[in-house]
Amino acid sequence: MKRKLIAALVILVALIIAGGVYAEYYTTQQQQPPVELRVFAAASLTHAIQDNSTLQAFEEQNNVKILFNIGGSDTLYQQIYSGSPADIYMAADSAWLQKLNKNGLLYNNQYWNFTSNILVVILPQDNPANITSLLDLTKPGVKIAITAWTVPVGKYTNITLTKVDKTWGNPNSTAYKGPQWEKYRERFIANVITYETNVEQVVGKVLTDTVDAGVAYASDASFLGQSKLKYLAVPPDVNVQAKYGIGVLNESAHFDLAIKYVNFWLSQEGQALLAKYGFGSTLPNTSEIGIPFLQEQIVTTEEPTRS
Amino acid sequence: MGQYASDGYSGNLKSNRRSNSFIGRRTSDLLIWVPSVLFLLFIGIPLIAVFYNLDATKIAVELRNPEIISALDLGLVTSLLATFVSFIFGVPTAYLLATRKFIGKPVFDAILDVPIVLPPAVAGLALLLAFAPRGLLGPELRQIGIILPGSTLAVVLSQFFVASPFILRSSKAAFESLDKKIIDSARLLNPSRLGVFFTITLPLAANGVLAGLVMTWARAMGEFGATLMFAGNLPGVTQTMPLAIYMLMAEDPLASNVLSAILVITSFSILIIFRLLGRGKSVQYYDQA
Repeated sequence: MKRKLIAALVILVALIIAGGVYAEYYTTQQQQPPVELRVFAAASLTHAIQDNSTLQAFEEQNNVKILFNIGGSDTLYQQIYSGSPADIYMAADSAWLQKLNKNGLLYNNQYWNFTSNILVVILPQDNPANITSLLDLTKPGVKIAITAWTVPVGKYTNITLTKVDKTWGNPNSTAYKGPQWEKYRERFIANVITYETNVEQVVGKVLTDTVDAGVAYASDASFLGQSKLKYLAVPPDVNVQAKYGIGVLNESAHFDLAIKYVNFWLSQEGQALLAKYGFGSTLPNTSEIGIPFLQEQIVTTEEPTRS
Repeated sequence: MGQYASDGYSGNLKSNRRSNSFIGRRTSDLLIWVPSVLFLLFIGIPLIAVFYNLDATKIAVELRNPEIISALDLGLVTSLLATFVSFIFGVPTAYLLATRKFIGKPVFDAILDVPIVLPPAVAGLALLLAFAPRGLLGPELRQIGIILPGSTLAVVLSQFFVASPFILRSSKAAFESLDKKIIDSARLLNPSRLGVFFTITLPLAANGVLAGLVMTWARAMGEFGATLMFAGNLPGVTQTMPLAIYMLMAEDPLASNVLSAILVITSFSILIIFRLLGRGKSVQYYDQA
């Protein structure tokens, strides 16, 4: 029996070595770039920051390898606050950058608002629950996915829900739309079946038909396009404009490169790239519901009015 | 009446004892088989589902993707290392808890069992608060040049934290079930305590220890929450398979299906290897003195 234990341990070690050899064989061995930049980025930025051609160009020009730690902005904040090594922090809510700044963790006490986003309701392609308006989301039995309230998009969702309660559902408000809108937030929350850790997980749940609807960003809608999902616009009077923040951490070992990276996103080129991925959308001033690229995908723009 | 250490019997023991229940053979069979089959179905059907709609051609493609390879490799290496470390620390601790009495033993025991009931995300947060550079022991660690979050070592530690209770419990139970008389007689013949441990005690407990090792490795392999929180989600450095699957689920559900299949096959294979090793009775009682 002792021999078997030894055999087990030997196999353990052998597997470890085998795994290493296999990895060496298949991953290309390049001259390791001397500098590694760690970017902690919000999940909604996943595709924009990993845009292949742009990323490669930046890495080559500056001889740097960028490592992305992607997750919910609140989780990333906790990690940075505890001292997890990071050079740059990109959050879906500038408030997180402000918090870091209050604790003196940002380089030069600076952070920038580098883009914006707005909320959109996403629906599976076949729309099984037949959602045609925001009111339908409160129908009994509808399954909704949102993020936890501490994640930026969850916080924004909460703000929107509260706005609906205070305007459309408030008899004393001039924007009152009828009794069917009262206690909207409560009924909406009753239909929420999952609080995800970041917005990409919400998108995933809707893509796999696990839920009937989810609240995500216009950037997600833009990236996925109309072939995969249907969308419901959230009217500007209750929508929220997300302010994305970016900053360099005080403990970064490569300030110059980090600043260069930040400047890229603040530059024309960076802003154009973000726009390409659906970021930077601002709420229209008019009460007309309209996000141009979503015009065709909007299931309906009519909100039931008081009869 | 023999004093055999028998580990199971089939059928009803016809003995002197009166059977005082009215449950007959057929009913007892039903009570045993029905839950077992249902159990098997409940676990088996999701496993089958992973392979049901699988695009098998994609497996070969994904296996050559460097990111997938690094996730698989990272997951295997870290979980095996974590298992190894759990063994090194778990077995002596289990022996201590099984054989010695000391003040505060129940508390000691309880503390080491906490990771099993702790939600993994909480475990991750706790590790962060303890060992991250601005954590409790952070400054001291930094002085030695160790920065844990964002490192592969942090992955191993996260897995060790959540998975070690398994080897601990299993080994402890195995040591506790040993017949003291055998150990005592061995000590009479062999003055070296360590010698006795390695030649008698450990081999006798080996089945339990091995079972614990397998569970520890399985738990480490699937570890997600604590790793995500403490080590972070850095591809190639801390992104193990569960993390990779989680991230992919959002972007490309089909690819995550493929990854899940790869993970199931890998886990299953290693599990079988260790099961085969663990077969055979380790307890052999001899009648001669």
